[in-house]
This record gives sequence, C-alpha cells and structure tokens, in this order.
Amino acid sequence: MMTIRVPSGAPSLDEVKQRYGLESGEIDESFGVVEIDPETHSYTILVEASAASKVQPGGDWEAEGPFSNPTIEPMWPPK
Amino acid sequence: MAKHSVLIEVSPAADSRYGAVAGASANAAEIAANISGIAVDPSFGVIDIPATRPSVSAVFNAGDIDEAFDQPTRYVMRGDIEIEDTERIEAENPGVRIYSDPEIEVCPICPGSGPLGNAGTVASLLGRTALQGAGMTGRNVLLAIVDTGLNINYLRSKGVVAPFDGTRSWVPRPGLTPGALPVGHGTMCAYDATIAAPRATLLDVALLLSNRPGGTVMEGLLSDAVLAYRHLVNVMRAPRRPGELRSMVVNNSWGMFHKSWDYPVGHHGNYSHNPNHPFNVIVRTLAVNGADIFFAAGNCGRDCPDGRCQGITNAGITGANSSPYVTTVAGVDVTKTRVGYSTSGPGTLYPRKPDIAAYTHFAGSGVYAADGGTSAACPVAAGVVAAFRSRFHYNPANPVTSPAAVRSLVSRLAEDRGSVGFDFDYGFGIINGRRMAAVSSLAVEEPFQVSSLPRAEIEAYDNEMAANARAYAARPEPAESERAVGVGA
Repeated sequence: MMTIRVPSGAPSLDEVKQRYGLESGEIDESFGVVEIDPETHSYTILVEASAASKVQPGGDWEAEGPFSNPTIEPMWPPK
Repeated sequence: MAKHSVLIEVSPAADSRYGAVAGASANAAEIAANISGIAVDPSFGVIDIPATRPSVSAVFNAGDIDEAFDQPTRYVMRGDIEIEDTERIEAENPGVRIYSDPEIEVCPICPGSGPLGNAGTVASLLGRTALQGAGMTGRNVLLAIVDTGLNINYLRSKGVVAPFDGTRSWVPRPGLTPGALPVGHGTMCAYDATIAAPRATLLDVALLLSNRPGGTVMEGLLSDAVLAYRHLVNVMRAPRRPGELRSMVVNNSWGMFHKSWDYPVGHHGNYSHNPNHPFNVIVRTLAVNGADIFFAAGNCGRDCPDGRCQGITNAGITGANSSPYVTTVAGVDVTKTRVGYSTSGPGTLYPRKPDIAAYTHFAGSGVYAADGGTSAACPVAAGVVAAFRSRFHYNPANPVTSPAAVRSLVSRLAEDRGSVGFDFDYGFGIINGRRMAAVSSLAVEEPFQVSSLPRAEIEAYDNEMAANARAYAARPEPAESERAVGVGA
C-alpha cells in the first residue's frame, strides 16, 4: 500500500497511473484510489512491490510507503 | 540465597525426639527449634493427618502386612528453607520430609475449556433488563460486524430479531450476498452483539472473505480492511434528512497475530506501531466521523495463547487493535475472571490498553462449543454501546456525543477488576450496562448534557495522538538487517 497526498482533491485512477507511469498490471485497479483522510487529502493505492519505487513525491503530490499489507484473521476458534 | 516456602511433614513414630508433638497441641515453634535451617510459619499452625486404614489392595500388595497398617499420624507445618538445605535436613532428622509449597492460582479459562454460563447469564451480567428499561435496545443504531460474513437465517433460528440492512452492507467481491454467507465467526459475533442490543440494525461487512492472492477461506489482507472502512465512512457521511441522527457501532474481532507478518518496528511501512499506516489512518477517520469502533484485544495472553501467537505473549496489543480511537476489549468469563488467552496491554499505538473487559467463553450462538476468545468479548461490549446509542445518538454538532466521549464514559462506568483503577489485564474494568442505563435516567431531561464528559480532555487526547504520529514519522529507520522479515502480499 502507498499513501499519496494530493492537495487539489481526489485524483482519478488514470491520473495516478499517468503521474507515476504505472502500467495496468502494476496497480490494483479494483482497489482504486481510496480516500483515507479527508483532512490531509490522503489517498491509498495498492501497487505491486516491484512498482512501489515509481511512486515518488513530486510537485505538490506527496508520497509515502510502501506500507505492509499483512494477513488478518478472525481470533476464534484457536489454532 | 532465596528462601522458599515448603511443607514440612513430621512422623513422630520415626523419631522419638518428636514424641512431644501430639495432635492439636503440637507446637510449631518447638519443632522449629529442633530443626536447624527451617523457619516455621507460626500462623499456619500444625495440621495433623490422621492414620488411615489402608485399602484392601494396599494390604495385599504390601510385602509385609504389618507394615501396610503401620501408618502413624503425621503432622504438617509450613515454613521457609533454602532449597539447598533440603537433603541435609531430611538426613539429619529422620521422620521429617520436605515438600514443595508452590504458589497456586485458579486455573484460567483456556481455549480448550468448556463454556461457562450461557447467553442468558451474560445478558443478566450486562444488565440487559435495565438497559431495555431505559429504552436502550439498539433501535435505529447501525451495528456493523466487520468479519467473515453473517448468516441471517441462522441468527433467526437462534432467536435473533435484530433487523438487517443489506443495502448498507459490504462484501469484498461480486457473487457474495450479505447476510447469506456461511455460518461462522461473523455470525457468532453478530449473535453476541445482539445480547445487549436486540434491536440494533445489523450490517454485514464481510472483510475476511478475501479472494486476493494468498488468502484462504477465512482471512483477508489489511488492504481489504481499508476498503471496508472506506465503505463505512461513506455510510456515516451519506446525506441525512434534517434532524436525522446517525449512530454506528463497528465490531472488529480480528487482527494480525504475529509481527513476522509485518515490517519491523521503526520501518516507515510498519503497521503494528505506526499511526501513519493507511489502515490506522482510516480508523481514525471513521472515528472522527462518529463511529464507535471496537477491537478485540487478542488471544495471545500469557497463560494459554493461541498457537498463531507463536509463543509471543509479551508483545502487547498491536496495530489498530490498540488505536487510541477505538475501544479495545479484553475477555473475562462469567465469574469476572480474566480468561487465560486474553492479550494484556500495553498497546503499541496507545499504551493504556485494553480499555475495558467483557464476557466471553459462554454457550451462545451454537456456532462453536463456546462463543470464545476476545472475539466474543468484543461484540458483547459493542452491543452494550449500541444499546446506549439508541438513547444517545452521535450528533456531529455536539462533542460530548463523540466516540471519544462515549469511550470515556464506558471506561468510567466499568466495574473495576484486577489492580485498583486501570491495569493491563482488565483495562478500566468490565463493561457495566446497569450503570450506563442509570446514566440515561439521570440525563433524560437534558440528554446531551452528561457533565462527566470533558471537552478539554478529549481535545488534549487528540493533540497527543497527532504528536505521536509525527514522532513515529520522525523515527530513524531500522537497520537493513532488521528488514528481512516476511510481509503480507
């Protein structure tokens, strides 16, 4: 997962792909561009680990990550 | 050298020196005077163990039938010795035997234990009657079960009457029908949440039915949780009719079991300790939008942890389960004793965790032998707050109705257990529906003027959390060697 901050508001998926030069197979299009904090105009995208380095800050767009995407499980029954 | 508590057994018949020890009149101090190296505890006294008639088999198996009957009265005292002196004392004092006197505790409930009590017991302990008497049933409150999916038909067969809202539910992929998913963990959680909130409106958020690569039938990835929470934020922010109040309680009985699934602490991409992780950020966003979010503390307790904890029981409560914006719930059985698998604090995102405890490991939904784990404790607590919210809806215009304010209230009204005040096993104590119902009766005339909810404290809390996030971002990255750990896809 990568977090980007875009002061001008929610970018479209195509804008994100174009901005970072991401191919369709490098970004999870079904995940999309998910707003996680409207106060800071922060959005999360899901990219292949090999493409994470393409997502760099530039201009007024900030970028942070990659963040871990661990498996989560229900806590019961015990294993 | 350290002294150890022991039991001292004296058989007078074996040594004429102890002939003076006679039943209840035996004097522990006199015995101590005769045995060097033992400090007898006079408060324990002398317990006589009467001679017993041997069993028939003992008689016939004994080499000497007279010996089999030769079991004199023995006397037991308590004292302290240095363990290294044990052999010397026994050698120098024929008829004296030293036995260990270990500390004992009540055996805690563990994962394999049978259920204790049932849903009716829990309802009584929660004060459901009092809640209902105060109009707290969960009516018009959304109760989102973020889990493996719900099976409404099964819940109906178990007497659950709570309405279900499929249109505001969420599934991770096409082809899944909310409310008609396999009976499992999520259905158990929904059942337990409706114990205190029988009229809450259930939402099925089937996060843990991921189809992403690497997933199994009953697990997901944290990125799915980001999507699920985005959906819940949208529900909370959807247009309202004038005057409409909207409350949502969100139950999360899931988590990340082991740090090997994560980037190391200090790494910018870490989840467990990092307030800036996208999921931890969106949890805050949902809370800021008025949702009361509950997370299970975890099942990595020191006495009998889940195997998935890989033996790590001192890592505390991690990730969003320890968020300052959620209520973290530990587990107690119906005797109000912490269950042995309930993870203890502190939390990694906010240290004073868990916040509260709630009941678990009882016969409830019938999905499992016991509705157990902090998995069950969490919705039990969430249900109480859903019930409360039906009288005290979230109002964006009134800070004292915020999730932080309600969490503060719930903590203050909890029944203290463990150490006085907050502790890392029970938090502030066991959630108490009766006290919450009483708050309602006191506040009927001015329903949003609960005076015990301090705005300044809430604002200071928010500022502290923002400072924590900045501090984490400023931490130095861990050494390269520490980064070579497994990380989810």
